[in-house]
Amino acid sequence: MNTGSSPSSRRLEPPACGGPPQSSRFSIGTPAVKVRVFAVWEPMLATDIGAPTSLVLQRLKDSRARQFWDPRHTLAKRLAADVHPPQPKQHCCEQEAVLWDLAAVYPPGAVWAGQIPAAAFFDGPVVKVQVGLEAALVGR
Amino acid sequence: MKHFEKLAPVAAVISAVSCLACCLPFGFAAAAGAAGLGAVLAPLRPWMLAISGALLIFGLVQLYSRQGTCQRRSRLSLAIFWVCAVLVLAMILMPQVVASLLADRLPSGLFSYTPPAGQPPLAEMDARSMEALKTEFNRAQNEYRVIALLSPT
Repeated sequence: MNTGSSPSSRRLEPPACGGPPQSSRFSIGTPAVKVRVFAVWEPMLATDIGAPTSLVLQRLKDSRARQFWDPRHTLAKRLAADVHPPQPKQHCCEQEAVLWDLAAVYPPGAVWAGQIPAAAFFDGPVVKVQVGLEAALVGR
Repeated sequence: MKHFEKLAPVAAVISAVSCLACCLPFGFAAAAGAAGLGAVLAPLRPWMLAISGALLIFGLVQLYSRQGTCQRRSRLSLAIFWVCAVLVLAMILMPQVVASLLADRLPSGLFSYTPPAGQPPLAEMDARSMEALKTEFNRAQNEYRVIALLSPT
């Protein structure tokens, strides 16, 4: 994972099944891509008894990332409610009507006004959408 | 019955350890606003202690109420009982001391919520932090932004 000071490649090394990224890399092929990451942790599994500990948080080391704990799925519900074209329909990522294990990419210029803007990429599970995620981050 | 005399004191220790949840950094979850172990178990502390005491008494009776029988007390049972009795008493009489000792031995990062250097503290999502997210999202509108929904475990 990029430590923030280094412009080296950034790749979101995805978690298995919505869990924390197993390696501490966050990279994407093109170092020039400017990206801000909002990681929102929510309790989805029986073992998610509390907020992510430092061990989990440390896996996303990029200083441009910001991490949230969302025990009431506030953002997931908002994302689901604000879906509108031309946002692509996700292929998975719902459990009891709550979105999770999903990544959304918003291109430069997208503004969150009344609604969350339409994502250019909106899919998961994160572990399986690496290629699409990277492509969206370079505008393909 | 023989197994009960070994199990009872162990169960007493488990019950007593559960009482420490309010002292150990398990309270993290409560601090984070989640229904954490500490918050859940803290009100049960008197009950846990009572159960610990009852289990110890049960173990004691099992061990020492065989007057007149030829059966010898197992050394293992005696050892388990007295070790557990000391542990339970320590947890009843000095919960903070035991909790501190345990906390010092636990790996750092297991019960703390510190994000990597350079990142703001972990924020619980509520109306205010949602607004902060929105502001930060819009402030970075010249960049790509990624929102990832993940589960801690």
